[in-house]
Amino acid sequence: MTNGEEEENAGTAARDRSGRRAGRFARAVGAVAAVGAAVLSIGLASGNYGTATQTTSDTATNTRSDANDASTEPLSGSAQAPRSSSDQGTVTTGGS
Amino acid sequence: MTGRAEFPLWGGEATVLVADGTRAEAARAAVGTVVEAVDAALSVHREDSVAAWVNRAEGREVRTGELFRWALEIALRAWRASGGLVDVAGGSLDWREAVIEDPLRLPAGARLDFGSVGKAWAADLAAERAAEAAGCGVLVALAGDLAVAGEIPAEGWTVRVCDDHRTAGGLPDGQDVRLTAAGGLATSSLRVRGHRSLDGTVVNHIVDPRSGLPVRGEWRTVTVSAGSCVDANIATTETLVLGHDRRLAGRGLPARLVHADGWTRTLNGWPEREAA
Repeated sequence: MTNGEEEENAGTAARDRSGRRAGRFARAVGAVAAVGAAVLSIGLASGNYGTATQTTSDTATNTRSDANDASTEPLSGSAQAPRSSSDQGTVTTGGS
Repeated sequence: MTGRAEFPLWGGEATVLVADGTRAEAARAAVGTVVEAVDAALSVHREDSVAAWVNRAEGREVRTGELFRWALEIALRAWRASGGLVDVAGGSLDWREAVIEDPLRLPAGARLDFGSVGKAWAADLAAERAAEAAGCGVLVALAGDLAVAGEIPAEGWTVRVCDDHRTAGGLPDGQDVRLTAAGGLATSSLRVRGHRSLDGTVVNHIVDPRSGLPVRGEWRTVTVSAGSCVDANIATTETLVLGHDRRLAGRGLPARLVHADGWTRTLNGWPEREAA
């Protein structure tokens, strides 16, 4: 398979995944209002008026001692790596 | 001609780039719909979110809806893919025993904070919805998490990669790169969102699971390009937690790392030098 064919296949797969997610998102957002009401009723019925627990950090925490490379799973790659640019980017990515 | 829309979001800024400048408003509206839905589902900074109710449930059953259930699937994937190093439950939940269903019942004491994984997921969803709504290629940046969807402009999308994406006072120093394929770009850094601990020491927001203490690895900023912003975020976060780049090198994802001393390293095909 040529590089071009691999990129085309990767692009097709990405579009397929995108299409499936779009349908799921539409269904999910359509149900948001009903969900909010249901959750509220459960909370009120339980007498749970307490302040929501709020954490201010992105804790990447794991209490297991066996977190190692052997237990990981692959992550998806983009069809092409970023390329050098002589233009100035007006959108930034950085720590957040 | 390309177009651009911006609006404040989650303490930062959302930026939407569109290949067809006449479709900027349609794309911006689609992004707004996504971030509002994700915020209502996942935010721990509001008491009426689904996440807030789940965190208050203490073993009781809560109806969460499809979006939250979907987010839990993403969280489980992050936990599995990272070998447990990226955990939105912060160690308060054994994911091997968790049953993702709606209604949801988590053990008492379980607390979820989707944090950067949730933001990255929102970027992925927003980019796809915006591309569909606008009918053209888009780049969506949500407070530093980037996702690209739709047909890419011939020149690609140019992005500045830096230690801190905040642009107050001008564009920060960094490397400019072109994104020429759909996917995501995420950066995690120990330089920002730090806070002062009770003893006066400034600590960062990522915790080392092996010690329970804030990360103090050799890399201060990690940027990764992946097939989605979520996967990029998993890779950046686990790398900072691990404190080394060996796993990241093995994953084959293009990456740029900034050492604590300020020098940079690139991996897996990331362009090493800026174009002249």
